[in-house]
Amino acid sequence: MSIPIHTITTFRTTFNPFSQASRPCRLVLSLLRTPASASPASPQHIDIKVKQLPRNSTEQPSMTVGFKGGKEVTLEVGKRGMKIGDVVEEISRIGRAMEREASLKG
Amino acid sequence: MPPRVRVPSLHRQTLRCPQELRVASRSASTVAAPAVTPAPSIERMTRSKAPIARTPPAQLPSHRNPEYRRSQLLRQYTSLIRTSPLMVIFQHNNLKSMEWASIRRELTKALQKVDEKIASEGRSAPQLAPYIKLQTIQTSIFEVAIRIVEYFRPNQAAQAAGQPPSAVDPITQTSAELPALSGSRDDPALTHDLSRAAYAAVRNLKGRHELGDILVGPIAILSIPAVSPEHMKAALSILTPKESGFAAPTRKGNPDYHDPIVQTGLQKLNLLAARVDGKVFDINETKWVGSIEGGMDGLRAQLVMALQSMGSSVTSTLEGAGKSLYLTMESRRSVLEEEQKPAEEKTESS
Repeated sequence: MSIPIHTITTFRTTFNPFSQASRPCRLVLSLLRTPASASPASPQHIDIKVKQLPRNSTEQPSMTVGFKGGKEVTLEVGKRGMKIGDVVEEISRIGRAMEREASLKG
Repeated sequence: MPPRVRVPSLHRQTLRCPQELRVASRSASTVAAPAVTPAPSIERMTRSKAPIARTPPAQLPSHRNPEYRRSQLLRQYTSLIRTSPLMVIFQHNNLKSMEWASIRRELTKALQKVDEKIASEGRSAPQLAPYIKLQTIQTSIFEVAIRIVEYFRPNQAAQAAGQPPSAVDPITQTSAELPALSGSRDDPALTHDLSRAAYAAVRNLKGRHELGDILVGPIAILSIPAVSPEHMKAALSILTPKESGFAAPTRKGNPDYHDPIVQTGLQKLNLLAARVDGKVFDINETKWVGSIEGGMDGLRAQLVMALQSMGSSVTSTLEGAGKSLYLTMESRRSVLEEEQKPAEEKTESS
């Protein structure tokens, strides 16, 4: 299952790379940062902001995904103990719904 | 009594075929050679040759097939970890090959500048720029490699037991057999990085190392073969100027750096951590290491300054006691003298 990347416009994430719970954040980051989404000129550009916490911080990792049309979803990755599969599923579910809506509108 | 050597007469030499002549001269030489063989050297007397090993010394039996790519990568990574005390770890996200090439070009340029600067200041640091490499790694193999380097300590006793027997012990013969396990993968004397001993030693330590959680996803490593904060600072100012806080080269000073290919590539690089002398540092500590002025020499100068100031304070403290004693005695003496003076004056006047 792949994420419909073109429905995403912004991505904010906060994580401590030394904790195991931050894995999904970093992996989603690697999925979203593609050559197409990196350059600000392209229509698929995703505005990505990463905040890395210091090593001894106990703050849970989290991410906020903004979709086209202004919808924003905040995933408490650390609190819910999500893995990369869960995160991808959740994001792509919303993304697919938006794609579907757009195609129905014509 | 040995037979006399006959000097062949001239008329016989001129005779017949050369074959015959050769035979005659050979028989003469064998007879003339001294019948004494040189005594064997002391080493050969006291120590017999080791029995022939069953494997060539450069191809020791290993736990996994050494022909696999992963085995060779493991060897490569262990040697990389051992030889580079300063490593910076990045996450790279879908960089294109052109972007990698141009980033590496900028990196080598910046590092060469550091080398030139060090040389112009007259410091005797070796040139590091040609040896500093930025490479992507296979995280799972790298994680095993780092566990082998940090946790695997070969068992000396087992190693000694696996050595070929020596002839100093009179029981041992030249034909002594090697231990039964030698030549197989289970030989405890084998302690190279691919050996079964190394595998068994680190198998249960999965996830124990601090870097285990970092080594997930696409990871690149900058390896520096000496602890040189200056080189690290230069590299970080090129690779992650925003995250590390070291100023990137200006558009005027280095226009190539602001090429769109380089910049889009750099957007996809993240600084994660660093490993300095076996210790894992996070971003803030990495910044601190990079901010050490003047490299190791600068650190040493700071230490010397601290020690010197401490020395002077110690001497002043030690002097203090003596000085105060001297001052007390002096004051006491002056008091006594003053007491004596009026007495003398009194006696004179009376």
